[in-house]
Amino acid sequence: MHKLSLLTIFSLLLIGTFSCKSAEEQRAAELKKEVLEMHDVLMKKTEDLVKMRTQLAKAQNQSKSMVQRTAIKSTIILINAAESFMEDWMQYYAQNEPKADAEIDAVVDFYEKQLKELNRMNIQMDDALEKGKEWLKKMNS
Amino acid sequence: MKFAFKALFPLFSIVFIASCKFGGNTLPYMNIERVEGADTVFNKIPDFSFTNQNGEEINKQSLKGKVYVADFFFVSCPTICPVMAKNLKKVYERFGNNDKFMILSHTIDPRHDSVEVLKNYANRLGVAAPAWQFVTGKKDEIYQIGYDFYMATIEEDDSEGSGGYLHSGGLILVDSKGRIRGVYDGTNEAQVGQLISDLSILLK
Repeated sequence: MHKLSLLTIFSLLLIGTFSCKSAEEQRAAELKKEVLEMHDVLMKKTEDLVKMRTQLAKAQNQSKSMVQRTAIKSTIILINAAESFMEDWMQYYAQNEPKADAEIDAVVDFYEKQLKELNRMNIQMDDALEKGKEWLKKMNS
Repeated sequence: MKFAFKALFPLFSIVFIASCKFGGNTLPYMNIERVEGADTVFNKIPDFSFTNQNGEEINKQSLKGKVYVADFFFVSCPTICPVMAKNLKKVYERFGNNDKFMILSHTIDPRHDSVEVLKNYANRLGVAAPAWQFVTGKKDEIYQIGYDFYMATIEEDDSEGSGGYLHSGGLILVDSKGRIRGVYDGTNEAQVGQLISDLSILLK
């Protein structure tokens, strides 16, 4: 009877360990999917930023007001910063993405951090796009 | 990037089906600007100057008389670019020895994709110029040529998760007279197979 109980406990521990690992693996896969989906959202926004910079640069050249030109230049700087953030993140991601044999906790931690970073980038891009839109609206009115 | 593929798939499919329908030796002309009487005026590629993986200048003259495939990528791309590169390598292996053929891959991350980075990337893929040119230059100019010429035949997908217009996996087939003759999804093996068939027609 004693031997049977030990066997049961051992089996339950084994099952528990594997199901935990499986849940962690699933979490890592979901996080990776979220990261790549967010990457696509931000790639589209990066293109919008590049287009907006071209339009703003034209507006900057056409403006006769030094105050306006300086303000537009500040917005272009914001756009450049948001764009660089994305480019640098892509480099970091390509160089640091966990290998297949990495510890699952480290993998989950990596993707969680990347998702946070991308959300931060999203806010930065939205801010730059919003300010750019405001200036283009002002210049075209 | 699956989202971009999904979003643009209908567009690529229309072009793909249209290319199949034309069949035989006739491929569609996709960059018609206007028709003036009996003359057809095509949207021409603007002047440009980029640098390839060997540090050599690539400009409009470099494309003269070439049947080429243009695409947009970046070395650190975690999504579609590795699949596109694998598929494009099949095209390179088939036509790489033909001096009238070229693949022109534009990086959309020129700040990181320097000449040296592009050279290493080409070496890792096992491909070389002049058949496969990886080019870098000013980012805004690369985007401009993409919007104004290569991608001008595709309707822009404005959905949030599309991955972007240039970063959509599109392969653009241009004939020896600078006319766009097909657009294919570089992540789709069947469409890359169609590209190979269409290249065979143009390189005859």
